[in-house]
Amino acid sequence: MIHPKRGAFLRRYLPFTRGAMEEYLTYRFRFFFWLLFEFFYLFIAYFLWKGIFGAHAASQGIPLADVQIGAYDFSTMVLYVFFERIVFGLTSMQASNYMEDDIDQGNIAMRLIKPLDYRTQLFFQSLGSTVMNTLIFSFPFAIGLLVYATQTGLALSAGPISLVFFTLSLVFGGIINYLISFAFGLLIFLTINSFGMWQLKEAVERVFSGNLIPIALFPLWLRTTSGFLPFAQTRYVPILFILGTYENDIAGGIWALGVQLIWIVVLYLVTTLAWSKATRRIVVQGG
Amino acid sequence: MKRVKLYFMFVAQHLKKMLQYRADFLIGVLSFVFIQAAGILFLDILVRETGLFTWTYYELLVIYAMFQIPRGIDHLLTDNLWMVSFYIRRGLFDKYLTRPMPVLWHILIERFQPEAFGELIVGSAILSYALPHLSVSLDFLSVVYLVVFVLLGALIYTSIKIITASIAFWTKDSHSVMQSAYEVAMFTKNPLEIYPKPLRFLLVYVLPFGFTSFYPTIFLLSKFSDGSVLTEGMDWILIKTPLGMLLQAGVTAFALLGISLLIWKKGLSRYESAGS
Repeated sequence: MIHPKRGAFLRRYLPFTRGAMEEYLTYRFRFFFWLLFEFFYLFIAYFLWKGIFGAHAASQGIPLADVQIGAYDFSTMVLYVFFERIVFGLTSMQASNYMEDDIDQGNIAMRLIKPLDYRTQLFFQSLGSTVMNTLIFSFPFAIGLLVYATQTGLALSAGPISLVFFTLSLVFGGIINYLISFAFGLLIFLTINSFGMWQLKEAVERVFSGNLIPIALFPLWLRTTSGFLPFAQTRYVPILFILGTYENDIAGGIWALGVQLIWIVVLYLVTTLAWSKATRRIVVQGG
Repeated sequence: MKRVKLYFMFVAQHLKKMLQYRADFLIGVLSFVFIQAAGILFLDILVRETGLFTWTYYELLVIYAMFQIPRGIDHLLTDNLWMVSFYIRRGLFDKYLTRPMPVLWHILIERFQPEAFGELIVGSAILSYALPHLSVSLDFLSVVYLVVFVLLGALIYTSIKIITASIAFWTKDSHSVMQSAYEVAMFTKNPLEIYPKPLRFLLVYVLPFGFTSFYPTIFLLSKFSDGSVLTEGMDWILIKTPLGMLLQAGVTAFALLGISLLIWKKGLSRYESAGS
């Protein structure tokens, strides 16, 4: 008896996914430049890390391949940089983009009176953009990584278990990113929607999601701060799995997935509470 | 009576706008400082002990600081260029054609972007932190050199923005092109020696952002005596003396400005209004 119901559910919400995907096609001329931009970023990161590992090699008087910074040698760091970009696309559930449109164009009230759940709708829209981001960014970078790996004889140390865990943590990471993004959308809805707020969010996210450097290399105080924030759960945790960090530590891997689940529950509760408060507020203002 | 009421409504709106603007401005600067602090933290964690090639940690900070300053000057004065493609698409560009002023000039003076003080403040702060750790002695002449360098750097930014903004005359959309070109400058936050030689060529002769941060820093820190910088970092500089480098920066900046004005003019002459 569940099947017809689920069918109706998907029939109701999948058009939002398709709509979000089609919206990307409007910008297809920009894809090339977006990709170019990302490529620059990868290029700089690669040579900067090469320089840094080279500098460490010179100061310790050992070959570059033997240098360890934290738990990372040069080839693992290159993998990290690639996977950071790949996972970014795969988990980029940017609900706040769609909320911003609805706020700016005053559509939010119309959205709320429809017999659709707004949060579910946002989820399906984000899903659409995530599929496109995966196709545009993650896919080319995965190919790039494959080419680089075969050229340099780089091997992945993640086994089947790590791959399963990686897949799970990607799904969790995507959900967490959706919840973070929804929470941010609520925040700008209730306070101010400004370019500055978006910049600030992006800045905080960049540092604490592990975009700049692996969080394990942070000084202790910053690592502690990161533990109280959900950002590392979206990109950093999946990357750890695919790099094989938990290959011989299944208990540790399960724990990491558990932490992601806890974050999902916490963020879900917080955003649900905030959302019900916010919608009540809209009703009051409208009446 | 109605008019008085309307007037106060307008004033109230205006005040709200100003308040929002100020909060926006503060948040914007805060996020900028945050991301810069993260960049410095990156250097602090990874290269504080070792440096990078011939560059010590503090010298790297100087490159980082010098990167901000010409960028900030350009940001302060020419930010409206980012809007050109938007104006063209929305049919707002026509108004510039009706004014008794060169179009480009009108666009440039129309907006003053105080957010750029974020870059200038961060740049100066890092500079004043890093320089005392280095033995830099500046006489009057070298200060003049440095100022010229910084201004030329800002000019390079502006010219590249004009060229890429002009593309909108043909395509109606130039924002993504502009952003890609503008962010090539990111390469020059780091010493150029870390990159392969063809890329250094690009940063000296094609999108000459090298002159906006890296080469001024070489000058400021008198890295001319450093053999490795001369062979690796300056391989595309024709005359490897301070004056030679300044001359090359000047020729490059003005050539680029000339090209940018030509392209702008050509684009403007084929401009068609998006409105009906």
